[in-house]
Amino acid sequence: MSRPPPLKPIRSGGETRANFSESGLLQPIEEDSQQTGTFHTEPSSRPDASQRLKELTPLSWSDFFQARALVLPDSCKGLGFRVYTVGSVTELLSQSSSSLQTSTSFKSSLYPSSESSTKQPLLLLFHGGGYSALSFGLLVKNIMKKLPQPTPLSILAFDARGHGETELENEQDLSAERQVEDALSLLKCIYGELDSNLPPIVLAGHSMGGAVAVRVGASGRIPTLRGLVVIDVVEGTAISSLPHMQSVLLKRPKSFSSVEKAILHALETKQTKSKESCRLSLPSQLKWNDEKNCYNWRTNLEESECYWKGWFENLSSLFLQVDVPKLLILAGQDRLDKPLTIAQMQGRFQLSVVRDSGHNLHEDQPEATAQIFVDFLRRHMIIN
Amino acid sequence: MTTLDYNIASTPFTGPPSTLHTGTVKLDNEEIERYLSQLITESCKPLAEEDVKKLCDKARELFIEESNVQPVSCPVTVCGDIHGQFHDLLELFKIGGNCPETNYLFLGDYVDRGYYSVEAVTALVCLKIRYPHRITILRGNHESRQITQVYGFYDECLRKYGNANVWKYFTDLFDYMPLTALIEGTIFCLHGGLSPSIDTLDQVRALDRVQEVPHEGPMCDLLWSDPDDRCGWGISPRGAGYTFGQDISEQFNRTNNLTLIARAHQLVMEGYNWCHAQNVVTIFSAPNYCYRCGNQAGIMELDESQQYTFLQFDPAPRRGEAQVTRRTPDYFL
Repeated sequence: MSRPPPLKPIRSGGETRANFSESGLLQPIEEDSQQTGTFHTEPSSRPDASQRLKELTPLSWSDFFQARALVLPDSCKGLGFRVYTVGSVTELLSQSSSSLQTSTSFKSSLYPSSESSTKQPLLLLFHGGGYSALSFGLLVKNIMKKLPQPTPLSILAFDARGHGETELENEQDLSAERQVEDALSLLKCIYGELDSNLPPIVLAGHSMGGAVAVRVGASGRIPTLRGLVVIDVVEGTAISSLPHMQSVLLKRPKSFSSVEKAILHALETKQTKSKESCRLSLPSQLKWNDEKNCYNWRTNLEESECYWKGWFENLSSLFLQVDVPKLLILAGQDRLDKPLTIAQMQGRFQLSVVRDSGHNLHEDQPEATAQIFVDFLRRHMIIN
Repeated sequence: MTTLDYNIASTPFTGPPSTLHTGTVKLDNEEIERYLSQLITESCKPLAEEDVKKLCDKARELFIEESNVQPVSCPVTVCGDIHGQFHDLLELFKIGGNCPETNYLFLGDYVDRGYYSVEAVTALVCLKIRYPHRITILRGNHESRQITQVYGFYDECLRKYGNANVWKYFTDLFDYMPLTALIEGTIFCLHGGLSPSIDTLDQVRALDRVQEVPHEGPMCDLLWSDPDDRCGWGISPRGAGYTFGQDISEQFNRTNNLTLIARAHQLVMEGYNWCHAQNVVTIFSAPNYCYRCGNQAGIMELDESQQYTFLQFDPAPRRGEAQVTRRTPDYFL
């Protein structure tokens, strides 16, 4: 089945330039922002600014993943979860089935001749709050680059409820419990029952997604769970940051006149340092507003505040409780809380720190992060 | 308020005279005493960069002569991880006695995590040069270029010296530190644990240790492995080294006529912890590790007849650390 594009169609380079008058470039890219001065440019640098925006055109998912599909589990109503895949899980998605509403568009040349096996280990990726599955695009590409062909690993990243191109009823419910059920029903929908016939599964999540991944692991409902990877989220640090989150969100511009300007904003504010990753993932974090003729954020994070505490509470003890190899990747070692500092110093999990990165470390340093993933998967013999 | 009464001047002189230092680097006892006094009594002021260089050059001459399995005699006090907690190291000397009145064996991990790695490792290296036969300092997994770039020592050097020279002097020196020690031929001491590639002490002696700690292999394992409740060898959850069971420890001790493996590397809440039916003891000497873990520190005193006593201690009263704030990320959803 087909669905309308989630975004206003991306303009070509020529159109883009035509739409940016000189006066437009002098305006702050964030129309609603008070930080007007930030984006002023000297007259002499105007061509550079326009050149810069030209270099920020969106990138296609198909350069990073093998397939994408909409998957609608029986328990959900709506269009379904947007999923992106590489490896043999792609074949499962493409097998037409009434419960699997796929609209797979293949890009078969990307990661050729992936082994045909429903038992291929699966790396299931959970993105952070406000982001989308495409924030993992660079990481996935770098992981695949490090693996032999045919690829020994399947990867599936999906847009969470209320995020990206996932369209479901009741999309405001971002509770930890709901998101855990979502992930499990997605797996069930793709693989059948959650029993020992599942492939070996490694859960990996960033921030909010890390918290959900831990809770999925701790639910004990994946009998073939083989590993758990958490990217830059620690209970103690997250809980102590929450009181400041609304003001952080308030500082965000509410709208953008173009995708490129949203990408520029993400780069200027160093939310994500990688231009390539911003170009890939930012578009799916936005939605076109026909009435106001501008882009708004796809996800209303401000209204999800009632769920924040529930994501992170008890996270450290749940993480330690999941009895599979565990990897915590942080942007700075001082982000550990007391229970995780003790556990790390007792050798109960692997801690890796990615230098020169921010909270979105898998976007800022995709190559280094991919190496950590591959070493972890090999070390625990999840892949050869 | 702090009372640091590590009194250098009143320390009886029992070490060898300075003329015994036959190496090429000139560094006399008076100068070392001056360094120690600067570190300990003058508000733990780090040494000048060129003094650190001299210190490391001198210490290298000593380490290079030591064995991968450095023999140590009793009595001796065995200490675990310090991790830049310099004020707690001074507390350790208060509890255990000053060097050289007390002989010491340190099991590695002097740097990273705490905010005074420079002072801690400088003080220990000074003591090594001043009393080379009274103190033995082994290498831990944090005595490594790669690890110190992530866990604090590198950044601390940049902060305190404005450049990475001191970090380079020390990490170059770490390559020469001995990996293990053997007390009276019966207690095998090291930072981490056993390796599936090593059955005998002679195999340890044969390792070429002067290098960065590798990612795998026997040298890596000695600095990274942990004892475990499960039998046999296991993949370490840490991402380096192995876990080894009681059967492995018993076999190793039997093969090498040992009574005990004394190691550090793991935080134990009481400061020391027996395992593997008293074949292995873990000693951890950084109280309230990382200023947040609430653990006691422990050291193991061995008397002339190898009878052991464990001493436990709590964090030293400290100053200055209130200003150290942890950066929290502004976005966390």
